Amino acid sequence: QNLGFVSDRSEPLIGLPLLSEESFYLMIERERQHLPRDDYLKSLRSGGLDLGVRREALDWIWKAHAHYNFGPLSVWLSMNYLDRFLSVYELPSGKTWTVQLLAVACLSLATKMEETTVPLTTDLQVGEPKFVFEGKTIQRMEVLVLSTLKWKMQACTPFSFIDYFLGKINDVHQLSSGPLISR
Amino acid sequence: MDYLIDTMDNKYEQLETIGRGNFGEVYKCRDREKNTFASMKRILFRYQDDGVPGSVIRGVALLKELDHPNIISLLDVLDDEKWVDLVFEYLEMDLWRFMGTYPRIGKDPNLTKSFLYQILSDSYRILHRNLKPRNIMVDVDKKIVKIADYGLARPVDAPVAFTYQVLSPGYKAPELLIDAKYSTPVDIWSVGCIFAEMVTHHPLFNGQCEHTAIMEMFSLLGVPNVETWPGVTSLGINLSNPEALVSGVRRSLSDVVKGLEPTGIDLLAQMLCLNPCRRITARDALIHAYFRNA
Repeated sequence: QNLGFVSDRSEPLIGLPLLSEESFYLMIERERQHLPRDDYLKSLRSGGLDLGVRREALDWIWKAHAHYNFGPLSVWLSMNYLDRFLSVYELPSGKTWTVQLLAVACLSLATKMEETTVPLTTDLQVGEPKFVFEGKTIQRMEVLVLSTLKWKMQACTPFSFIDYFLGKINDVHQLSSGPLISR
Repeated sequence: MDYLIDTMDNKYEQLETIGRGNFGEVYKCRDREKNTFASMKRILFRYQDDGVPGSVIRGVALLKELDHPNIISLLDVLDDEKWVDLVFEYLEMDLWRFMGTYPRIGKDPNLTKSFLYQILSDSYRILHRNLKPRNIMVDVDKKIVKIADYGLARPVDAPVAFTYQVLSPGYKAPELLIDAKYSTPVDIWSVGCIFAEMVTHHPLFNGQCEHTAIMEMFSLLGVPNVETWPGVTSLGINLSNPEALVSGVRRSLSDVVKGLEPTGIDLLAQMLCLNPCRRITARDALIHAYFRNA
């Protein structure tokens, strides 16, 4: 039963009070802290980084994503982690397995941030990838990604802005007070 | 514990154990370079096939986004293959011990006001659910309070010396006790209880179980009805016999929280509104008249 907490006195649930101008600027600021390094796009374009490798990783993430029916945010977060990692960490060249391992670790981390039920890391490796890794190896890669990204995994995503812009369009001050948490 | 000393990052020197958490032990440490103290929580990854536990990833990620003078800050994350060490700012004293140690300074009305303001100014940023004096650290010299209740940031899940407070429902809002839906107002309730305790140095509610806690609340604040709390009847409390839900002599807030100025009583009453929808918000509380002459 909904108690009707959506009232004048109750506030949006978690984190920042959504939709105010102030928090909008805070979100822009936060988004900036969760982006790949500035020169990343350039090095992808100029071939300093192999765009094909990135595409392969994304392809596999889509496959696993579809297989487990994960939400859209998980894909977005996985690629955010992957891009941020590649922009600051140089993987040994010519070893395609490292990229696959990175993709598995990024998807695993993203699902742990985002999904309510998460398969074992080893079970994530669906779609017959060329390389399959042990749990121990994936865990080590997870730790490497976490420390490389300084554990800043709560990325500000385009999804975070949707409420704000919808509110602007509809000219309502408060679109929703956020979902209620039930024990 | 010797293995910890061997393997711990050289940056920190391990001192004594200060607590035990759900994940592992908590140590007091010294930052060798800065010569400052820190508390360190080592979290072991138990199951390899799960990788790094999701709760750890989410917990640390959340702490990384929080930066507020009234929040205990995460100074360092030292990772290893099999564990992660979280290094937090160290404050020796929690509010509960502060009140016990400084019975006189602790009751200074201006200090109470300042502490309450600090707690409120942080609390709207996040849903805590379990604020209590044990989870609020005090910097005695600077007169600053810092909330240490962010899942992993909680320095001590179960203190070495077990106290009544660990399981006491004394700071929980009524809607939490009766299993109703809840939101940020639960924290305002807890802060209200803490506010009263800062004034009197006695817990406002002592209830040893959820039932007695509810009775205590109703005895002090009145039994709710459909007027004061629309929808309350659907929450599983039998209100047909209100007298059965109260105990002892009826007292008012100003009788119980003696010595608090009238504007303080007014603010406290609004924070302890049984109906969460009508409870004051942190934002409104911060501009309440009580703080005007601070």
